Amino acid sequence: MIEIRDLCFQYAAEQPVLQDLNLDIREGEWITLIGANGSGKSTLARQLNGLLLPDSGTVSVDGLLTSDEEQLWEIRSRVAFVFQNPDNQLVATSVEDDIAFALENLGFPREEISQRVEGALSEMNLTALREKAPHLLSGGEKQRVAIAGALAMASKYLVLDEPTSMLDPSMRRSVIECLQKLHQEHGLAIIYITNIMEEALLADRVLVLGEGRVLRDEKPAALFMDHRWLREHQLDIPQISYLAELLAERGHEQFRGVVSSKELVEIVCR
Amino acid sequence: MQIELQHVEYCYQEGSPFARKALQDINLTIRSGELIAMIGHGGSGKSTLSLLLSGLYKPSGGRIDTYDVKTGKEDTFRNIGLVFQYPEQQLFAETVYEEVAFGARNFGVPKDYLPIRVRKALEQVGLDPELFWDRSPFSLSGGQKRRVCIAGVLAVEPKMLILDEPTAGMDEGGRRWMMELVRKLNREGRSILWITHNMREAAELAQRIIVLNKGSILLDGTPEEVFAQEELLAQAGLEIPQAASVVRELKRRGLPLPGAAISVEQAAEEIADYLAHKDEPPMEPEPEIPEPAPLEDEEAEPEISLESVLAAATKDPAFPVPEPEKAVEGEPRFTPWQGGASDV
Repeated sequence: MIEIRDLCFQYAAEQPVLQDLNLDIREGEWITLIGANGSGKSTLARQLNGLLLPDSGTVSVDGLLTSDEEQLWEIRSRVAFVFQNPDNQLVATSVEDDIAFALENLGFPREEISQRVEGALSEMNLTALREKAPHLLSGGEKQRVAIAGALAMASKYLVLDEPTSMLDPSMRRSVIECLQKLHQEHGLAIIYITNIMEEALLADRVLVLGEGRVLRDEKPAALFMDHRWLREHQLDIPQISYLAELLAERGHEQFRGVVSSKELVEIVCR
Repeated sequence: MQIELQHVEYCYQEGSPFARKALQDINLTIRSGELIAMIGHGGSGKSTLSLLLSGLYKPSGGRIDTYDVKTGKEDTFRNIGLVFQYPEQQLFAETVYEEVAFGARNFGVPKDYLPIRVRKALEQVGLDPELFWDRSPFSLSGGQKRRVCIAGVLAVEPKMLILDEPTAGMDEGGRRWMMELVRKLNREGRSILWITHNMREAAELAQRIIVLNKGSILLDGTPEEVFAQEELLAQAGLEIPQAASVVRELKRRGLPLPGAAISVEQAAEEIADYLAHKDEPPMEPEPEIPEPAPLEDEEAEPEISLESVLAAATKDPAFPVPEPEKAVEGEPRFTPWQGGASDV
C-alpha cells in the first residue's frame, strides 16, 4: 500500500502545490488522477516514487518512507514510472536492452535478466521488435517498451503521467489494452493521470485534485454523474455520460448514470 | 489567401539509404477563410504537411502555389503562421515582449510599430500586456507559455494560421479557450488549419475535415461526410466520435434511426426521436424515418461518391477520379479534394 499523510509540497517561492494531502493507494487498484492544469497531478505522481520529496508529511510505499534515502532504490523498483513524452524515457540502443536496463543496473544475474526480458517482450507484444532501435518505434510502441520495463522489474505499482496524450487513437488503444492485461493478470496497481475523461472511466476510483487537495475520491460512475460539479471545475464530461444526461433530461430516466456506450446501446434496444 | 497543392510529395533523407516518403500525391486547395481540421494517425504526414504549407520545407515533387485571392498575385509564405506542437518547449527570450516581438521584427515590422503589434497580440490571447510585458516567459504556467507562443505568431499578422495539436496536454478549460480563440480568428477572416488527434474537437470545430493516411489524403469533406466513413477511418487507425459511433451501432442493429449524428446533441436528438416513436404502431411510418437498415454492412452513404472514396483509398484506376470542378461564381465552399485547379 502507498500511504500519503499530510503531504505538503511547493516549488521554490511559489504557491503550495499540495497541501495536507492524504491518500491511500491499495495493491492491485486502478486509480485515475484528474484535475485542471496546475492542480498538482504530476507533482503528486512524482512524490510516489521519491522523484520529489515532501516538504512536510510523509509518503510511504509498503512501509518504506520516500524521505529515507537508503530506501529510495527499493521504492523505485516497486513504483515504476511512465512519462508523457515517449522520447523522454528510452535510453538503450535496442528494445530488449532498454527493458533490461534497470535490471542490469540493479545487478540481477544474467540468466534471470534474459528470462524476465523475454517474458515482458511477449506480454507486451514486442517480441518482433526486440532488436529495433527505440527511436525508430511509433509513439505507442515506445510507451509499451516503457511499460515492459516496469513489468520486467516486477514492480507492484505503475504510475503513468498522461501516457497517451501524444498518441493517436489506435496507439492509445494498444497502450490501454496492455495496461488492462497487466492489471488483470499480474495484479499491478495502476496510477493513471489523464485529461481524457473516457480513459478515466477505466478506473476503480477516480481522484480529482484541486487547491492542493483531493477534492473527490469515488467510483467513476458516481463522479461522472455530477455534471454540474465537473463543469464548475473545468473538467470535461465523458461523451456517453453527457449523452445519457441529455436523454434523461428528456424524461428517459432509464439512462441516468450510464457511462459506457455498450450499456447505453443495450438500454435503447430494450 | 489561397494555397494550392498539386501532386505534392515529400521525402525525408532523399537519396540516402534511409530515404522515407512521408507524403505522396497530395492535391489540395485551401481557400481564404476556411476552418479546416486535419486528422490522421501518428506518422500519417500531418506535421510534414504543415511544414510544407508554411514554407519551411520545400516539396520533393509537385508544386505549392500561394496567392492573394483579390489580386491573383503570388503571395508569400510569410502570411502563413505556424504554431508548432508543444511550442512552449522553444521559448528563448528574456521577456514576454521580446518573445512575442521576435517574429514580427524578423519580418521587418518597423521598430515603432512593434510594441503596438505585441500589445494587440497579447490581448488577443487573453494576457494583460501590463502584467506580462516584462516577465520572463519561463516563469509562466504551461498554459500561459502556450498563449505567449501563439501571440508571437499572431504578431506577424498572418492571413492563415496552422496549429499543430494546439490542445495537446491541455485541460478542458484550456481546450475550450483555444477553440474559442481559433473561431474568433477565423471570423476575422483568417484561414485556419487545426491538426488534431481528437475527433470530437474536429467534429465540433471544423467546416471541413481532411484525413491523412500513410502520407496520402484519404478523405476530404464536411464532418458529416467524413464521419460517415467509419470503416475507412478505422482502417486508418482513427475512430469516429463516441456519440456518433453509438447511433451507428444502433442503426446496424436494425433500429430505424438515421445514424448520421456526429455531436452528442444530435445523437440525443436521434435516440429521443426513436424512443418517442418506438411504441407507436408501425402502420404510419414517419416520412423522415428511412427503411430499417439491412443487417449487412452498408458501405456508401448517399451523399458521398463511392468512386471518389475508393479512388482515394486504393488508387485503383478502375475507379477514375472525377474531373475537378471548374471554379465559377457562387461556387461551393470548396471543391472535392481531387480539385485544386481553380483560377479565382
